[in-house]
Amino acid sequence: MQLAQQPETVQILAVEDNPGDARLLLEALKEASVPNNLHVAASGGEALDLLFGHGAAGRKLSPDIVLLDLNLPDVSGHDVLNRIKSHPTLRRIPVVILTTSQDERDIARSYRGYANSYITKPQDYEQFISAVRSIEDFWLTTAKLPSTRSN
Amino acid sequence: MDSVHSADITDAVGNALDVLISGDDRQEGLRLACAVLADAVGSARICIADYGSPGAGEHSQARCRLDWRSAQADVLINDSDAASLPVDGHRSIWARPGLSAAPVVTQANDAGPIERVWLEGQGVATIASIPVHIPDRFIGSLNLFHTGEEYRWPAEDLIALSTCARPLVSAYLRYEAGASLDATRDLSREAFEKSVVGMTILGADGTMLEVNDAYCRLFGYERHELLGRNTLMLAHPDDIALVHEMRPAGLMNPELTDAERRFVRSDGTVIWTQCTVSRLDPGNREPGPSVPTFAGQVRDITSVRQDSVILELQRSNRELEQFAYIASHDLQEPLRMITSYLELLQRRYAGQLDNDADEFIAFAVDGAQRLRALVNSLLIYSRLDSQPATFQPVRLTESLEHALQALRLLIEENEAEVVYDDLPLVNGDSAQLSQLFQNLIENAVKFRREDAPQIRIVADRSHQLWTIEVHDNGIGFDPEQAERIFGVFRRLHGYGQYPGTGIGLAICKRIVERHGGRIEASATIGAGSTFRFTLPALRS
Repeated sequence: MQLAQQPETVQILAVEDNPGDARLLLEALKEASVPNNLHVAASGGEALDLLFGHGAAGRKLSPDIVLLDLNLPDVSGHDVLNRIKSHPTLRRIPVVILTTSQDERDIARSYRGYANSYITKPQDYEQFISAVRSIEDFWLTTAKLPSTRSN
Repeated sequence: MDSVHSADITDAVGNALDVLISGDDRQEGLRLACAVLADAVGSARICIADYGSPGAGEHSQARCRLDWRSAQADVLINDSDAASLPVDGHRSIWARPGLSAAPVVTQANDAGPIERVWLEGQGVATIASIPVHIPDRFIGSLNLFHTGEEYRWPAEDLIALSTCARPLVSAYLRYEAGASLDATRDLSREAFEKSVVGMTILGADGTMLEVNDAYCRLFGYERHELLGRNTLMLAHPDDIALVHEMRPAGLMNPELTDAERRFVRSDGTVIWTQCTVSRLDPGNREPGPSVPTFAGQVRDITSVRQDSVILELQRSNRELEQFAYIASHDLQEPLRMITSYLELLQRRYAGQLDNDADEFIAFAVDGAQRLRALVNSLLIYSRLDSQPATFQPVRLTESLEHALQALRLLIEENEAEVVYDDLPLVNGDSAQLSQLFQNLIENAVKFRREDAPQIRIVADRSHQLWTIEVHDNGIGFDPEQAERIFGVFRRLHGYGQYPGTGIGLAICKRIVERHGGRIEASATIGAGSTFRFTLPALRS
């Protein structure tokens, strides 16, 4: 049992090919109230390697949440989402789509693929901070999630 | 009493008419026809006479137009002036103006003394003079002379002659008078006049010598306004040189020259035409301004040209819209980076650098934010057309309430009051209609006076059209600007005074027009404004 005053460090996987956005995410998370550790996968393939352990590192990552961009080189965000959501244990990890696309078809397809939330990348830093805060508030503190690591 | 020759007379006159109409050798044909006729009734001389110009009076000399004599008569008749029949002194012999339509038959033995002297001098025993009236005006006579023995005309023959004389005499006199009896010439003339293609005959320098009705109609002028003037008067200023060139081309090259040229009508409208110039056979004449040298045909192709211009415009418009959409969409990404990192700089380093740095960053942040608003508006604007319309029944009240929800913060900050009617159900795109209300209400709140903004939205139906009005009590605008404000990037105020991209109302206009309606604005400076748009009513 964890002490309430010392929340566990949250593991976050961001699948993001734009270094600018990845850094922005890192900066925004620095200002978050929950201690967190950000892992960045620069492509869909890299994300799958990290999650399924096929990569050079050979070690699987078990994130508490995945922030997933849709427009990625090699494996697309939709495919990454599918792989996660069709896996018996990984499917429990909340996946938040964080993308520039405002296309209705992308939104519908994401929810059909069991995405837990869909957020359009905010246009400025203020909004970015509040978007990250709302993710943090809801997915990392409010919602009670089964721990993937307890399996 | 001699036998009756009516049938022969009809035949003979019929032959004469055929000859006149056929256009073959008329003189020879007529001689033959007269010979046949003379043979039928035994006449020695036949002449057709008239009395000069109409209205010349009954005292004028009868002119002998056609004078046919048999070989026998040539010997017998002693006539020093064959071209004229002496009327003065022996008028009673001749059918003439003012008399009845009955044939006049004179026997030398029964004639008056003066007439008798003349008749016997001519060796003539009997003259039958058949008058011709068209319809009741005397135009001339057919005269038949018998020599030797007195000839007693059968009444039936005279009736037959009276019947046949009319077409023969009138046709012959018209032919003689030079009126266009030539059927071929008549036809080409008629074809020229009645052609639906504008046609003209030009002199060597382009002087219009002849124009047809279609030509006059095409350019909107009366015939007399064109004849004697140069075709260049009709050419479009930009095409004068080209029109001018067509004639030298026609002169050097006997083939047609054919081109699309612009002309200007009398009312100033510009027309596109397909004009063809062909060279006429000059015969032995030297080309000159008054010598028919060219035939011109002009056909109006304005509507054809306009159709292709409109298609071209639509195509380039579509490309432009596509471009605007792609440009504004792709601009968003780098712009987001600039804005976000500028703000991050400001957030982390404000007060840590010097005052100048803080100020510079502030300007950069402001500029980036404005650019972002602009790109967003452009994206919305171009998306209106680049995305297919998906119209379905939309409750306008819901669109309005959706807009009010989006503007909640702005409305609360300004303590604005918005009241509205129950709005109708229309066919449309719900997102766009919400955008329409959002832009109009945002404007109404933004351009406020000291007093709290009051906005009222009402709907009214007239026939198949709903009119929706958005009234406010804001600063209004100069009514002269009422049209301009709907243009893209039109701003009536400085950015510092009232922020905005200048696209909001252009978006409104685009949305309303896409829905088959119209939008207009009216206002007085300082006394509020009204934006009014129409939407087609839903068919029940």
